[in-house]
Amino acid sequence: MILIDQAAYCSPLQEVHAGEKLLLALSTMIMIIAMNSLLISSLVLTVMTILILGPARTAPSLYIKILLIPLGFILLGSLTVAVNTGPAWGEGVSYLSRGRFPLWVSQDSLFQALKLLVKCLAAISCMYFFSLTTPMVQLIQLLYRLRLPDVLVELTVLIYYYIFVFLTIAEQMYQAQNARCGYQGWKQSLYSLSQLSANLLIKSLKACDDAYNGLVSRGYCGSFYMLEEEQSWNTRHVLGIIGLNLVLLLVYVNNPLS
Amino acid sequence: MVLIVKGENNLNMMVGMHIMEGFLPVSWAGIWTAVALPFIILSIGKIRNLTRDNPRIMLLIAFAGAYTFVLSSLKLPSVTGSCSHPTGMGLGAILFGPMVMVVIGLIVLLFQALLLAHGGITTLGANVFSMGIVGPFVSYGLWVWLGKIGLNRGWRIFLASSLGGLATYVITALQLALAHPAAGGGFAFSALKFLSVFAITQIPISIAEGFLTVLVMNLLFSYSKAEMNSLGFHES
Repeated sequence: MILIDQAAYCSPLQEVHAGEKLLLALSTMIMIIAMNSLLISSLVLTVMTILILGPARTAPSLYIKILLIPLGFILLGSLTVAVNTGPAWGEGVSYLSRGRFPLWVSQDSLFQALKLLVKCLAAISCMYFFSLTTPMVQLIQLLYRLRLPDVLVELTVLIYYYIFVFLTIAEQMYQAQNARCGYQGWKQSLYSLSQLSANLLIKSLKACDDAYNGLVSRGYCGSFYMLEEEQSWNTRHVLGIIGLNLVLLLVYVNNPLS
Repeated sequence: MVLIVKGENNLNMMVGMHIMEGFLPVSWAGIWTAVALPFIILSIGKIRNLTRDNPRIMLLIAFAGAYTFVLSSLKLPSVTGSCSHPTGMGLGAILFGPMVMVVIGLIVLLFQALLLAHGGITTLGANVFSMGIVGPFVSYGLWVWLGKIGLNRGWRIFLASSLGGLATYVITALQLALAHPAAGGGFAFSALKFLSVFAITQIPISIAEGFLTVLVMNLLFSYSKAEMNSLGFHES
């Protein structure tokens, strides 16, 4: 099982129309990125965290765990923005090292990095709100309704179903290898992983063939027809989303520099 | 794989290859989406042509996508101790051709963002450009060109997949530098910063991915000629 997928199916908010959730996530996400303000970002991060842990009923341990996943990239990226090289510039410069390639930070660059870090976390929390409350099946229905090219949506459906089949195969092989000390040391790990990848290709190709035969014998000729869940837009939710965005806009207009 | 799917020991520093959500300002997110869009449209057209008469090809392409996704959720042992994930895009480009990989890259990146928390929605265009377009085209180009000049198969696979991976990371570093120019120094200084940080972490990963792809292809050539032929892949 994929943890985020599992959480989405268990969340009470999966009953809510997928369009509303997408609207909330995307609108706040664009607000954060467009405004690039520390205040707005922290505000959205707080609101989204409350929504995720409250109405969406995601386990706090899972939320913290998945927030840590992108942390490596964010820290590395913000650090790269904070630390500068070349001739020093701006206020409050302090050198980390001198020499031919001096490394320095300034008040300004540190503030930029902090802003980037919080902005990233806030935008990620918006994305998590969507993915932790929306099962992939709902997203696929949304994609159908948005009239995206049929090839794209069909492929999305197929890949989504195959992922679980292939993950099971990969998991079994990984367990078998690991039980036989297949992942001791770098060289051994690389060799085991290559064997796993090659066997996964062959075994999953077989699984894919079986699936095709199964589909064809049930009359498959290139497209899926799915039973759609009837969901309707909730006016109160939509008004809430518009309200939240208005509040963000007002806060931003009153404190444009923070 | 255990890493994300099971959620075990994911406190390891994961130096991501995708630009995370929120890292690009609106302007650059828009520009990279606009750059990636024509490739996506061409790729959809190509897939539509391929699958018109034979729905089985559709399932093979989906197979390629799911395989790439599962491969990317595996943990790749890297020399520096940081761990990363094989992109599998080099392998895919050699097996299936680069044009198909654009749409596969798009869908895999969407799933990675939503299911594995790698990448993002507003940064999807930028990530598709670096991982779904530049990487596979470099890999495939090298694979074909090195074949023409008569290099042996192992080296072709190694160079194609590791340099394809490296090209992806170089583009990612440049995308980050363009979005976050250094104060006082501008794009050049910023590019220098991001490239040097990426060089430390990503060169070993590219080399590891190259080795991995060679081993995978060797196993495939020795044990499953028939499956390789059914993918339309003939040793040239």
